[in-house]
Amino acid sequence: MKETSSVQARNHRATARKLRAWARACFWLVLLLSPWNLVYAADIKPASRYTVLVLLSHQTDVYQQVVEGMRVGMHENSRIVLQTVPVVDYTKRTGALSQAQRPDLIITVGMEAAQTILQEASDTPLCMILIPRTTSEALVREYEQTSTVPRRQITAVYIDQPFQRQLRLIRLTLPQSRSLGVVYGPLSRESARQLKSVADSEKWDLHAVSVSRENELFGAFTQVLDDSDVLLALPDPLVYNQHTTQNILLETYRQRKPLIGYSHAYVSAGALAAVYSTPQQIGRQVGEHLAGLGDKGGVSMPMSRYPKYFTVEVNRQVAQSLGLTIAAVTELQSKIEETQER
Amino acid sequence: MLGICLLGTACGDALAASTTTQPLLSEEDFLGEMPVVLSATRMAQPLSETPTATTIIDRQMIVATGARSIVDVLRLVPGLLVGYESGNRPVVSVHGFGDVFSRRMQVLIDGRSVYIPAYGGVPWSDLPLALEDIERIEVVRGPNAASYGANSFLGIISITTRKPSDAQETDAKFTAGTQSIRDAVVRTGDRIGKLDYHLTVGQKQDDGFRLRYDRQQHRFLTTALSYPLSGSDGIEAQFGYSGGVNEKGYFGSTGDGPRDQQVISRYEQIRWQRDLGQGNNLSLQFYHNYHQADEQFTTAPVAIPVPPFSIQVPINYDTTSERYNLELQNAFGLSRDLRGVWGAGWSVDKVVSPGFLGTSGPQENRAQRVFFNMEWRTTQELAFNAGAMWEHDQLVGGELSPRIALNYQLTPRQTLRASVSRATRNPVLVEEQGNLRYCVNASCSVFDQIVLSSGGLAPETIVSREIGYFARVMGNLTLDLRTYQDKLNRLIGTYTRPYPDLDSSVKDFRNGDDARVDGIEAQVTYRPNFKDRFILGYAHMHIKSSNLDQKYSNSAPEDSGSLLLIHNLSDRYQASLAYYYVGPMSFLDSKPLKPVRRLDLRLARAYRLGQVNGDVALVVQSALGRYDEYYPPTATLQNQFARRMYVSFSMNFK
Repeated sequence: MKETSSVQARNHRATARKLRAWARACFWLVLLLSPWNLVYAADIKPASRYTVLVLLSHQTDVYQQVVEGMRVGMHENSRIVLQTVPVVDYTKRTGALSQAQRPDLIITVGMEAAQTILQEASDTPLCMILIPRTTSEALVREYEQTSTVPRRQITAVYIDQPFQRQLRLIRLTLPQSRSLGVVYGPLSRESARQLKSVADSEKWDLHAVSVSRENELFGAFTQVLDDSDVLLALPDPLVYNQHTTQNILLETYRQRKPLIGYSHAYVSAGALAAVYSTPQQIGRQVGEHLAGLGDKGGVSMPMSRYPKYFTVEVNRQVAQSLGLTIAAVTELQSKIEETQER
Repeated sequence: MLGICLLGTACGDALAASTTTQPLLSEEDFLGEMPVVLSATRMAQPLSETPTATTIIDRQMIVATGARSIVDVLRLVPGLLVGYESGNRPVVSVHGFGDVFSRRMQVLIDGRSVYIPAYGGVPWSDLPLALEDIERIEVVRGPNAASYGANSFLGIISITTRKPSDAQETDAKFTAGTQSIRDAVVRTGDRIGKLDYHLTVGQKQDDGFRLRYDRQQHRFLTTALSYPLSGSDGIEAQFGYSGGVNEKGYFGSTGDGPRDQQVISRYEQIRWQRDLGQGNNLSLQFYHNYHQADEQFTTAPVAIPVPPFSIQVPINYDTTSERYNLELQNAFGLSRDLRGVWGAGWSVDKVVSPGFLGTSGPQENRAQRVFFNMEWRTTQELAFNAGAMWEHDQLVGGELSPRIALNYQLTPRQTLRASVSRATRNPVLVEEQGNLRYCVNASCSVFDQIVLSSGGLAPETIVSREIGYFARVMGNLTLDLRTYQDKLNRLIGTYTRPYPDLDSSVKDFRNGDDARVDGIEAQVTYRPNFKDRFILGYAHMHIKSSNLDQKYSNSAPEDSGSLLLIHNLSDRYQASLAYYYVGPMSFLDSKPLKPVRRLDLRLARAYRLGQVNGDVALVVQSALGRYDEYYPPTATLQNQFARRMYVSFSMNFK
């Protein structure tokens, strides 16, 4: 992993990394030792009817699509009662929520809803969905440090794709590629670190360059493009936003290096391909899990995980211009599924 | 989808600030909309791998020059010379040898040659093409018939327009300014089922030079359609029409008085392409170009030595020029290191021009050609490029145009290139069969023969050698240096011979002089960051010719150069500056021209009003004041390019 910063900064980061690794080890140790790790059983109820509060960060289509996906996944299971509330309404009537209305499980859709719930003192289990992995981990870490007992059981379904899945897509679309380039900012630093460990184990030659200000972007991209066969985009508002995307894509075309994106929007904009989960797919996974709960007689959520269902998309025009012949997306999808871990 | 997060970082920060001290990544960073990048579909071969020196002008550069016409954009290319014989008659030449008919280069729009087979040259003003529809212009600064077809002599200008699938939106642009500039263009594109279409309508109008009768007004419509037949093959079709008026002639001239030329220019093009996988594809393309100029007038009374001693001569310059062209092409990859393309083409040129060819019937010229091109990468560092085209033409027979190039990678960022190529230019119909006479009486027993071709011309030939060096320094500075030598033989020129008519002489064409061009060209691009761009071009040329009156030797300046600076002041404001210098020279049909120093400026401000966004731009051309342009040989006045100012207003409806 190539760093652009000075030796001193590198030492600082190394120390910070060690500390984080220790903290993480302690965190997982605590989780493992605690009895509610694998399956959490909330208060056993005589009637197997569960109330699930679904808190939406915003009232836009995306969040509605998650709820729709959940309903599809639940197959009209009458034992589960979904209460869908946007954050703005929820904060208004928090005080009015009586104990009788207390849900058995809270599902937060998006970051803002998760932050709102984590500020409350309650032990109602929480499942955060449509949330970036690094954010979810940071929120949990902060919660562990600040909250007092009783604590919630917190799990998550991330919005991100596992790096194994993304690297598999790159292998399938660009079998010749050996070196992978990444430009990351302050918010994707942790992702880049996680990517490094995966890339190392899969024998990728990773070139990662960090930026901390927008005017460092150009230099970072030209450097990374020079050294890499393919570029993987890691979501970071400093690096990939409405204003920078066009320039970044144009630069990749100029150097004939494909960019692997992380969303449908990115493939439409001109990335070669992307693997991502739609809001419906994430909702469906959660819905299916909820539907399976009823019989066991307890509300439990599995450990935090990546989305189970995903979509592969390829921009054929870009592929053609790069002289690439890429298999049909259904074929790519099944090949990725074959090798899926967990 | 989600509401647009205008300032990514600020957005994430604002959300996170409510609970945590550090900013966090939000789901919106995953789901945000991204602007579609148009040139995704057209990637150029990297400049380090091209077999001939090439300049690429992209969309941003076209916009930044503030130009209203394609030729003004071409001033950025080292070695290209641009002039205006009149406001509606631009002249472009590569490495000199240019006149209003500039016959020694190829101009392609989406692979369609727009060269006029009747008298050569390109009708730049009449082309049905909006500058806004151009995605990219590639200028190959040397012969390359194997890749670009017949007439790719001194250079090739290849224009690529946007694909219909690139623009599913509507936009409009209006421009108004001094010299009665009134331009408008409206474009729309959408998808109906599987059919992508794109439609552009527009008009272009200005008064041209002061004291010249050279107003132009053209209205045009172009459309492009693309339809996928299956996952691997598809059909693309394009149609265009342009109609308008070019003013011509001079006040006070007897035989060349002021008049209007009515012009119609249109094309139909259809292409089928099949992707055979593994880098193999097959395409079949047909196009038809049609150019019609109606220009009939009567001269002022002319004194003649026979009764009635003064007469008004009726003149008919009507010319219709057409080309039908069919081409089959197969690109293949034998292995990762060996790939190529081969193809065959057939064309028919049809010209009706009673005034210039002396016959009212259509004159035809049929041609067939086969071509191939191979790229062989022997090692990571060394690549060979070889190609040839063999063309057989009714007028001159068969000719072979081969080319060989070698690219050697010194380091991953530095490439050396050496190439040798030969190309030919076939005579156009006016050169081979020209017959222009003015009849003095009705039976035409008394006449003045102006042009009479003896025929039997051989093609002109060029042998070009070049050594180039391309370097990319730190990724954001590129340097393209080149030294070349062009040897031209059997140049077709006019000479006067005795003839039994009123003035006892006539002009004829013959293969006469030879010439040699030695030159150095440099192109530097520098992008220190996303906000700024510098593009610098410089050319040094020296022409030695056997021509005694130095016509060819003076047809290019010793030194010329251009500089384009683009600076994004903020998200809203963009400023650009273009400076051009051309040393003293003269076009083949102009009087000597003084050095040209021209500065163009552009300032644009972007706006957004609800769903509509766009920009307002102010352009000042020749900001330093007037400079001397073309000096037509028959004119008493020189064209003077005075300062021009115009404002354009564009809007885009997503």
